[in-house]
Amino acid sequence: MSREVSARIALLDNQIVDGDEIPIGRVDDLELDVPERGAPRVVSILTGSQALGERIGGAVGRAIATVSTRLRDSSSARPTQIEANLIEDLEPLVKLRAPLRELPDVAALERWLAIHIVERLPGGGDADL
Amino acid sequence: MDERSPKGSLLAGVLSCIVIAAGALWYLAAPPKGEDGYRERAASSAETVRSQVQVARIWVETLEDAESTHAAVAVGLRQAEADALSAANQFESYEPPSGLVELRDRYSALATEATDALAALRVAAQDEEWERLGELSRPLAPIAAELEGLEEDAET
Amino acid sequence: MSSSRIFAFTLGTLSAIGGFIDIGDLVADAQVGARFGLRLAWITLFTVAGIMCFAEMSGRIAVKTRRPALALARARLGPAFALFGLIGSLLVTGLLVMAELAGIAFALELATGLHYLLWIPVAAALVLIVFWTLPFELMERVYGILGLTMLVFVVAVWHLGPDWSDLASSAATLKPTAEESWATYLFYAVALVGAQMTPYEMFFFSSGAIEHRWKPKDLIELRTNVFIGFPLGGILAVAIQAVAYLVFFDAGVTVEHVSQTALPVAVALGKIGLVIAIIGIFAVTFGAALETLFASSYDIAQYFGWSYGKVQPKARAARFTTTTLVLLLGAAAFALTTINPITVTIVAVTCSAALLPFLFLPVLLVGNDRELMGDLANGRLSNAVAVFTIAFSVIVAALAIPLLILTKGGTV
Repeated sequence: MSREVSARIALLDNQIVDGDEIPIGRVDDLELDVPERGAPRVVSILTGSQALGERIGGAVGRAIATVSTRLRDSSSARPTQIEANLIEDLEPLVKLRAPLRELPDVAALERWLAIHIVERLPGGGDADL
Repeated sequence: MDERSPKGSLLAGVLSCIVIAAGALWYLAAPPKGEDGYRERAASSAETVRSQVQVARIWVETLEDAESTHAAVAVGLRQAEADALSAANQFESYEPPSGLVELRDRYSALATEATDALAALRVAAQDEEWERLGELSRPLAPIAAELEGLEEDAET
Repeated sequence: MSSSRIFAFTLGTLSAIGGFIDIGDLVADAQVGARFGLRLAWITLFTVAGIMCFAEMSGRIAVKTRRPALALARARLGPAFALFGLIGSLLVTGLLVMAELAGIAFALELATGLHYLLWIPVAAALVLIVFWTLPFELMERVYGILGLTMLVFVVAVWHLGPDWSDLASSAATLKPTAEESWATYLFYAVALVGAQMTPYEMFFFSSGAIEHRWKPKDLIELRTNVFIGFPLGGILAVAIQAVAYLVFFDAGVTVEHVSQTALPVAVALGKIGLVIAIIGIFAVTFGAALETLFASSYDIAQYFGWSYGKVQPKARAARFTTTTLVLLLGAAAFALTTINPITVTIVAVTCSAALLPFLFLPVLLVGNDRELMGDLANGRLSNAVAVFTIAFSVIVAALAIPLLILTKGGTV
């Protein structure tokens, strides 16, 4: 198995938590830089339903991906990317340096539902996103 | 790793669930085939009606022995009548094979007796005429016995 | 051991007793008792052993790894297998949420005389309020205690003054009665397995261990709950069969309503017994509605990596919260279509039986992973029972759907 593939498999589907250690999603795909020698380096992590949908592929995957693009304001067609400089740790969970409120592109669905639905319900609280 | 395999098994899983559900529903609603099929269905339908008659009897008995609440008995009687009606209606919607019209007529007569008796009980319970339930339930035992007789005859 | 510790132990065990019973048991056990007497009581031996084994394993995994077994399974077995298990268990658990809501409504109908459909929105609202406002632990304990009222079924058996040798010989006869076919007998065996070995019991112990922040020293509490609670729950299930047998078998009554599950208790113990049975039915279906609802939304949240559980404020687990609300509303809407909840229950437990191997296997693999579990990995006994249970569940799973179709859901 090539080093790239094995590195992807080890990290794929891992849980991602933000700077406050709150789960925000999974590693749905990865961008790696695989040099001739030395360990593969994570360039960025792709997360969210668009990344997952594109990985699954087919009609089901497209359906999953569409949910995401509808909700994100960004007009870019690319899945949510978390650059390597935002990643504090990769093992055992992927831990990010910043809390979710400082990552406006990540977990769009969470943000949308928090603001438009849950915060408006009695006892929903304030998500501070 | 084959990236298509999650989608493939997902689709296959959903499709097979739908096919299975549809198949089961069709199978359940299908009319009986042939004389043997019809007899079997007659016996099983009579058994269902008899079950409702018996359960209604037991509900009324519990009320007479002060073993039950009025609300519960009302619910039990209502359910018994509804189930008996639905079983009878379903069976009577089937065309009998030419040799079995007599069986069908006998079934219809008994089923009507049963559902009439159960309806009377349900109405009395709705009107809270609890004292009348005992007397209204008296026809139930002989009806049950006759239904059992029909079941046995249908199965031979 | 301090008295509060003993209290906690007892509560946990008591919760497991009532927690064993849900709408599946209320329907399947009563149907079986009325048609087959105790000839399928032997199934309960297997289901209790199996659920004890896997609930303990799930709890132990959660204690060691602080993560639920199924979430770990996705990483180990790959998203394909995990997705199949997820979709399958969601479909089944989704059906069960509807059936449990209907169970709550049936209890309220039996108590008041008002039609169950009118109670569906009330049942959903009650579940919603409890989910929204009560802490996890309080929820568990309250319906766990109330669920003990189901013991009235055991008392009812006693009070009916049965011929014990007749009951014993019925339990020892491992074949259908003269009027029933082997196909129907085996179908009900499958249905009982699906009703008694419910996957969400595994979830309950796994997530419970995480919510309570249990440590290895708490394993003894977990094991007490499981090894005492579940066998007693199994006895409850057999008691439901027994009273149905004693009151309905000779009369030729087949059970099609929850009111008929409770009727033998009225015959045995009168009004008081009936009222207690109704409370018991309410409690177990209410508890099961919460559990199945949570199990479903937890499964989804864990698959996608969302924050979940009793996170405060709720808006910080917005996806999980919304999913739970949608599932609850969906189940209520489904119930309001007037589709027969008893039929849905039978289909749900049969499909649950069909999926058991897929849900047990990942847990077994994670339990045996020494790298992950360290000294808490499965011992020989745990593995032996687990492998046997999986083998048993494979046979049951293979038979489930064919028998469902062949016997038309047991109606033949």
